[in-house]
Amino acid sequence: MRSKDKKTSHLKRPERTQDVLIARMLASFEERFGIDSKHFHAYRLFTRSNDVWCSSLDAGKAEFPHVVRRGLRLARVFDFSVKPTTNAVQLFGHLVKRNRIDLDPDETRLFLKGETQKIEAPRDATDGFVAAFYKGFALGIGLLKGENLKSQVPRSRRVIG
Amino acid sequence: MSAKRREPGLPQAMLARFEEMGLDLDVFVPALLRLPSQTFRINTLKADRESVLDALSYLDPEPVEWNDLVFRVKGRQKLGNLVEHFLGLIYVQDSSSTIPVTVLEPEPGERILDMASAPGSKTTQIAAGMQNSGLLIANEVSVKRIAALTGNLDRSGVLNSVVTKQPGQAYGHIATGYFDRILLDAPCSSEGTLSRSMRTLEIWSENSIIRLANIQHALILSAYYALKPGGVLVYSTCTFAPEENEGTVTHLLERFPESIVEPLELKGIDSQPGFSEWRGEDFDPRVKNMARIFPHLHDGEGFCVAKIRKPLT
Ligand SMILES: C[S@@+](CC[C@H](N)C(=O)[O-])C[C@H]1O[C@@H](n2cnc3c(N)ncnc32)[C@H](O)[C@@H]1O
Repeated sequence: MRSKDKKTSHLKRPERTQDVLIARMLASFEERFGIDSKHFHAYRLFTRSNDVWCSSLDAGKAEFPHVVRRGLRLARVFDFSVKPTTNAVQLFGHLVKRNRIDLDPDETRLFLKGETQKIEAPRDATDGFVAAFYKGFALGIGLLKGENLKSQVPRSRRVIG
Repeated sequence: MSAKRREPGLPQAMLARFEEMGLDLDVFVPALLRLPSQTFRINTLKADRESVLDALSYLDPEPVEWNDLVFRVKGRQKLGNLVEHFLGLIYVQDSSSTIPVTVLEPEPGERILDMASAPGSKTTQIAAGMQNSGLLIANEVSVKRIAALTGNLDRSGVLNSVVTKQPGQAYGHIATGYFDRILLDAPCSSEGTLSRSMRTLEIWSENSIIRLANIQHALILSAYYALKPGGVLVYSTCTFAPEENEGTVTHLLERFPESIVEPLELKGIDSQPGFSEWRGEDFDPRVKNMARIFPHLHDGEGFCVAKIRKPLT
């Protein structure tokens, strides 16, 4: 899923405009997770470098000095993949139709620690980014490779205790 | 107890002031230094109230009377380590700290300013009230505190915020008459949070109260300028110092005599009216509509809240 060609991924391509990045993210959300892009019509989507962000329409257009940020980061768009953020999955997880993995309490604990764990097959998911759930609530993103699920919970959000 | 008797940890000048406020130190000081029961607020941006309550039934949470999203838990728990906390389904917030936004009554689609917002307990509560719509400016002057603010906005799933970093004093000029509602949860001497942290004492002094009151005067005027006619300004502090509460609101009322201090209805909270005078100086009589929250009367940190409306004309 991920770009192996790390050497060229930093090069800015002419087609990497805001619209292209957003379109790629929406297409990936639809294809990988079955999230219909119409759910984002009520929001403003915009980019900052290779990240797609999402805000309410009013927050997207308000002009104020000294803005630090608006809304929430939805995904990072790589050359050959799109990686949703933990925060985005937690908020829009109820829309995920495929590539979901339900975790039990012990698996959830490991996931929250940011660890990689063996997941019993078969699960309704293919290799790549998957949305992990606990008791019906979306926890975040994991990277599934065979039987291994690697938690993508960022360091700052991990629960170690 | 006389203020002359030494209370471990608390400066004599502070105890003397509490006595001047008419507080019985024997009752008040132990309550001030005792941790209140733990409370959390359900974050409806992530899930509905019933499903969160369902998920948390093992904690046997008890609802408070003034806000149906706020609950007390028994004993002491590591709420910050719960999966439900990680999921952003709950926000751990002292019960008194949930009052200002309860009083602000944010509505979907509005323009709201949280003038001094980090670490975002009240910003996230406002965003939930707005159902993630409209515009919520989360302003904060301290760059160090913005990281905590954005972390909480992320965990809570807030989409309608614009985080700005500038002195709140600027808003009166740059957004005159713009906001439907404004929360000014002001920088203050934090006497009401001593049970959580005695670090407050490192900066506490009579002089710092005066210095903070002067900052609050500028902030409250700026907030009032930035308010639409008919708009609501909630002013709150987590301190008992009258200079920072009734004094600051009186400062606003002197400049804008037409502004209205609305009476507060706080169901289930034994609050006290604002003081009418301090050290021989009378406050504007309308400040009695403010609510003072004392920890010996309410199971929560010390707080003071005012709801001010700008008249339509
Ligand atoms: C009482 S705390 C706010 C707590 C916050 N409302 C909450 O509920 O999480 C006051 C905040 O005001 C900030 N502050 C201090 N001076 C300020 C100014 N002139 N303009 C804006 N914010 C200021 C402080 O850095 C601090 O974060």
